[in-house]
Amino acid sequence: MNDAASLMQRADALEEKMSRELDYIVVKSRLYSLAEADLAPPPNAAAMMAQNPNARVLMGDDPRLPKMPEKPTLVDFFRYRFGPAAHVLQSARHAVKAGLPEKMVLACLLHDISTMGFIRGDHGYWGAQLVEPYVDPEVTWAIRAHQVLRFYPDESVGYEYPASYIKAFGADYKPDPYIEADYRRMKDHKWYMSGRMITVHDIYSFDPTVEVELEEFIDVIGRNFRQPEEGLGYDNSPVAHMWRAMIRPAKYL
Amino acid sequence: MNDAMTLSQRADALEHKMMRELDEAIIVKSRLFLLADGDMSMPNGAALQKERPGARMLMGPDPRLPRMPDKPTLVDFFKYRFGPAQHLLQSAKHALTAGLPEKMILACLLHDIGVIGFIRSDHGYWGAQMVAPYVDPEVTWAIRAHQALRFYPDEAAGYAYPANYLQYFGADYKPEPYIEAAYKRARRHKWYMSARMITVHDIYSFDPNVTVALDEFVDIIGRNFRQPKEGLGFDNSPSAHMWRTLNQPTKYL
Repeated sequence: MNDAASLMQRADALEEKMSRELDYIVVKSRLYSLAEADLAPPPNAAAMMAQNPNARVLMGDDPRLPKMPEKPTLVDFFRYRFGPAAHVLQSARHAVKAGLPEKMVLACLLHDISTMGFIRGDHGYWGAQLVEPYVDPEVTWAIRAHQVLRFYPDESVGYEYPASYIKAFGADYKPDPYIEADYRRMKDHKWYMSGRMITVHDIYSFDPTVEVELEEFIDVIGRNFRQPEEGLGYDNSPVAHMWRAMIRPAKYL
Repeated sequence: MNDAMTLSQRADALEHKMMRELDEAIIVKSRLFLLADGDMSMPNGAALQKERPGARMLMGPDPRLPRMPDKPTLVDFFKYRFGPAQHLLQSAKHALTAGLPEKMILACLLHDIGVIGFIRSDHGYWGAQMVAPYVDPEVTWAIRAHQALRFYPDEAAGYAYPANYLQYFGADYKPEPYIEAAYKRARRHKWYMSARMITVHDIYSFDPNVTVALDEFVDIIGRNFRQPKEGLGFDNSPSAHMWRTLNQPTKYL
């Protein structure tokens, strides 16, 4: 959607956004500031409001982001919050073709939701935590494990150390000790091969002529992801606030 | 530390920081952090590497942030990652003076770590999730619930609706339905009064002449916060990755 907008449309959108911004005040979360290496104390909301008496700190929908339905589903997050999903769609398609069970197709479809939609660092742990109340425990376990297993080849199933990792991290890169320790725990686990299967189908060399649509997996999601009727974020699950943070990432409190 | 820097020192530090950053590592912002800026774009790691051959995706400590010890403690996070803690320290001091039990003093000391150190949106839920493996369940519960209870007066306990909320959110602000529902559940809970006590001691009108130091609470932390010997983030607990993200917020994967 963003790509398609002409420059003119984007300029208009920017202007409109800036005028709207006068009505509300955003105070950045510490974690977001740290990621920009900004260690300064947060701005004082009261002082900002003194300068702009009509403004309020943002507590509702963020006017800069697409509005989400009141009871958002997993598919709504794909549509309105996650970045491009071609990689996980290709990965899930690859798993379908290989005849993997449905729950593992779902695992492949969701394995990188944290890089696409949330937090990159330790994306396997974050992604597993996000979906835990809604999927089979094996799916949660495999999503967590895939981040670790990616660094370790397993020739028995034809999984090699990724060429893209050599390029991204250098030939001399060694995983952190906590990754190494988790690898040792995981390789002896009864679900090891499920985590491993995600890495086997973690496909990056797409055929650029093939486009996979999310629609292809709606039934797999329906049968294997327990969508809460109140909407993701509003079901009082242990991770509901994490989905709410994606809905309203700049909410004041 | 940062407060003491002059503007010119800060400018120098920033320049130095940016040079190092250019030399060594490519930093890609997490989707959540971009969304919080109203930015729906998605950076492409491979494309960034093409522009800067030889540079690697950051997989270690962010060179722009203070280095953390290998086995960081809660106090290290106060020192090297959290923003100014005066509000929490005043709050804990207030609870101490009122004769609250030690674990509740700890709850007051930690109730806003979501705000000063992590994600503001739903800070009570985030803060509770981070400390759950290390504190009494009542402390976790109280930290989670205080966020909702702040919106609801309890005259019997001497808690009125906060004047600064009127200013920040407007006189017509109504908490969202999930907060209302959380309040109703909390109201009937056996630990209601513990969470209520956090709101009673949630002191913002400080005496500017009084500075409370974290050192005053080091013993209370020692007795009530189960510091993992491997360091926070490296103990394989359910929230370890959350502390690691705070330690290294720009890790690529």
